[in-house]
Amino acid sequence: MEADLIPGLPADIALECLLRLPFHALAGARCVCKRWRQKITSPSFYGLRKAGGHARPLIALIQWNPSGGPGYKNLNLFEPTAGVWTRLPAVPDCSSYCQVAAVGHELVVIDGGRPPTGTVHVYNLLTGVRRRGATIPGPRRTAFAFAASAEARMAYVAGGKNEHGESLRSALAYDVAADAWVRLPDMALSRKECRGIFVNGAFCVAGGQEMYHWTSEVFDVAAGRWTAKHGMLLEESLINPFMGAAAAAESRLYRCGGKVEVDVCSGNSGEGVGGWRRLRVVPEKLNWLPAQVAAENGGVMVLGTSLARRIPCILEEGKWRQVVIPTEFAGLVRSLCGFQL
Amino acid sequence: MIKLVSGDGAEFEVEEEVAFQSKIIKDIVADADDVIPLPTVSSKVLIQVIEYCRKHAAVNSFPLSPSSSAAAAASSSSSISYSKPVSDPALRAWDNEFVKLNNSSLFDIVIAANYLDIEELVDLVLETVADRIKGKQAQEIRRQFNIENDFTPEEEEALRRENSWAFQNN
Repeated sequence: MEADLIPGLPADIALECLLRLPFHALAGARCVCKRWRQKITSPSFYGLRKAGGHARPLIALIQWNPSGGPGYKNLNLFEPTAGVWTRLPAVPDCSSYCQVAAVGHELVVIDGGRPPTGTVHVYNLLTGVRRRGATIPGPRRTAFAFAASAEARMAYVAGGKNEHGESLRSALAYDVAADAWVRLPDMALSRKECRGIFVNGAFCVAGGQEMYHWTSEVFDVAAGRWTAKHGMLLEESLINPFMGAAAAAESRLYRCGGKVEVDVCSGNSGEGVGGWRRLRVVPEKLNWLPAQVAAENGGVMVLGTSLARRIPCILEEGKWRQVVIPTEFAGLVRSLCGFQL
Repeated sequence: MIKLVSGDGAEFEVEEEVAFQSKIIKDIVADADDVIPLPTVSSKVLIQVIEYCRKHAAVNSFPLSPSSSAAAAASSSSSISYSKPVSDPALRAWDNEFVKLNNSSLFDIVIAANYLDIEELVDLVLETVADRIKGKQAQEIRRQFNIENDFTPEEEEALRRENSWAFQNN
């Protein structure tokens, strides 16, 4: 007879205990015995956590290592509910232009460096194993838009510039499970230094044209085509990398527009550009330019600059909470995303 | 009043609102009489479960602190879906005291609560067990829960290497 998951408890109840473990407890729990390891690393574990309402918000950050010098990047995870920071294995050959996006229980880290390599790394957060993904095909690009869809298990890349500095119209999708890239139709305009966000089944790409001339276009995944206007999204400076930042969670869109305010837009379009609603003004004692935003399930984390350091705040149910960053995790943030695990 | 009969034959008279914390009992009472045999639940465990239900039935009908109903309303309207903590601070403190039991007593309670379909109590115990797992090394978890280590020394060494990057800061 197979041994119990937890002696004294029926298997289904014991599994319920494991499903309630926060992310930072999983690495230790995987090492308890083979049965725990098998449960936690199985692909169904993530689905059961989500279905049972036990998934917790997580924020992944690519940061400079404060002691390792600028060439050395860390991939860190922050759990806002527990206040715990965890370091994942360092991203190898990672330039300053790496971007991270979450696809279910996996993180896709993609290099957009100078010179660009197109390297892809996939971190499975349940097994703790990192693998090399298929390299981005086509021209070696940098400064492109990147975002991912958890439901579709796809990551999207669009625009950017090639090694000659020419801006690109092409777009690609990365199927994480199949480890394969698929070519998407070209965008209407070529865009370099553009930004991407995934919301409501669509990959939105903004900016990247003439300086201070900000437009966006949107790839509707179900329809398989780009449209120039999306109705709800992206007036000027929204995803301007020099001015502000935006993030999406559960069909809501957050922006921290350059200075001191965070706005929310319920993504159920029809609201147009005017659909933005002021959520909260960022605490004034901090200098919030530029800011980065990572949204996760009803809360939004904003990172602001205070002299050389980034000070994150979390906005939850209308209240700001400042987050303590241990020194080892205080490095400059290059990319971040919020998700649920 | 409803009469509950434990597996070892002890009888407990409880008010409806206490017994109805269990969805199963509520269903049974709807189309049967008021004596409910619970053959798989011992009197020791049933006493604890009734104690829990009595407390929660009282608080659910008369909130202890004035802010709790507002807090409950706020939390139900938010989109946060992870475990819904009991919103009344006094009740939460009571719950925390209630679960200060050894593992095997807790396991008996959760098995009974699961059988009786008392969702809040199941949640409370499962969260407590999860709390006892987290923040501990594998060796400590095995000892506390009496779990056999079935990894070979070679496999353990590989696990240690795999986790050597894990660097945590609370």
